[in-house]
Amino acid sequence: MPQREGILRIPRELPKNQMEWEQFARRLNENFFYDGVRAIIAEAATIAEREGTDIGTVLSRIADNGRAEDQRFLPQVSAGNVLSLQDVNPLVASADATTATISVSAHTVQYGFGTVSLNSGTIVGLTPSTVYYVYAQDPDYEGGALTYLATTNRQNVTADNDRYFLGAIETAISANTAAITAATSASPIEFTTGTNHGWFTGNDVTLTGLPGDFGTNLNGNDYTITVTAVNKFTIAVDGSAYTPYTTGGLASRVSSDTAGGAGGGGGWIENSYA
Amino acid sequence: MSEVKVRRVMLKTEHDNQKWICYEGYVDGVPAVTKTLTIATAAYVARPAILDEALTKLRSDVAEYHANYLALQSL
Repeated sequence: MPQREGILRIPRELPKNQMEWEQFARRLNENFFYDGVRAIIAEAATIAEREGTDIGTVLSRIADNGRAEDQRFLPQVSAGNVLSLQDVNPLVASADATTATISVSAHTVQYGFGTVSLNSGTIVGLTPSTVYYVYAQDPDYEGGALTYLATTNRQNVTADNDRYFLGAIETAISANTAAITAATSASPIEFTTGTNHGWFTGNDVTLTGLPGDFGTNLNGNDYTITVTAVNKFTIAVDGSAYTPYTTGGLASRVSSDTAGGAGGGGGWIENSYA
Repeated sequence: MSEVKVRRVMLKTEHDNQKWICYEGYVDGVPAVTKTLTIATAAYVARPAILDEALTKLRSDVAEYHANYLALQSL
């Protein structure tokens, strides 16, 4: 760093006489002084190793309260684009009769400064048919084997500066079965289950073990149901010519995997729950 | 083949440590095959067997990843 005129770098070049001390003090006071309350860094002061850059220029886009006051304070990738993108949609959900699982596949995140790789993980014991927001603690952008967590409150994702948001996903519908105890020879066919089925209109069920014409025409097939009561549902099939139902049969709700949506900074950019 | 190991992972806050039970499966010296497991504590309380089931799958997955890793090393 070239020697500035009149400035002495302490401690290597101590002033040799009173005149040099006075000159040193005057130069120093032009750049750094005390107003009786606070220490003041003057605009002419600069930063070590920053040739030709003064404090005023460096701080021109930071307000007095310490916050950025001009979007150009941020690099273009942060101000003009999403902040990061994943290479694949890392989230898939599945469910059994009682709980759901979110599987996180290994993936990479592309930032403006480079790529971070993350290992796979699993979150077990979640509630089916529920939107979860998946995140992990990664304060230093290290990636690797992170512990993945899921919350139903999306604001929890941004409640800690250290969190990486993977994306959101609605867990799959739980698979469960109900015994059939009655069926109508009508259009549409209405089935009665032995216990409350807990299903919803729009769910898909597989019918098996049905007797007579019901079995011949319906067994082994999937149907989208309309719920008519806690223990009844219909399927859009004309069974008016079917011989009357006797006994037996099972309806099994179908559970299918679901895929996640957009992650942090734009993430995968797909269906977004954010 | 190196042994697959499992260890408990503690989270940042005590609140999270009450809400989640976390493990990671790994092979010494091969960080790329490490996989993490998170189990909702409520699900474990409702059905304790879920922990053993999940840990069994974790060990199986890491063993598979390690086998794939070794296969690539031989290329």
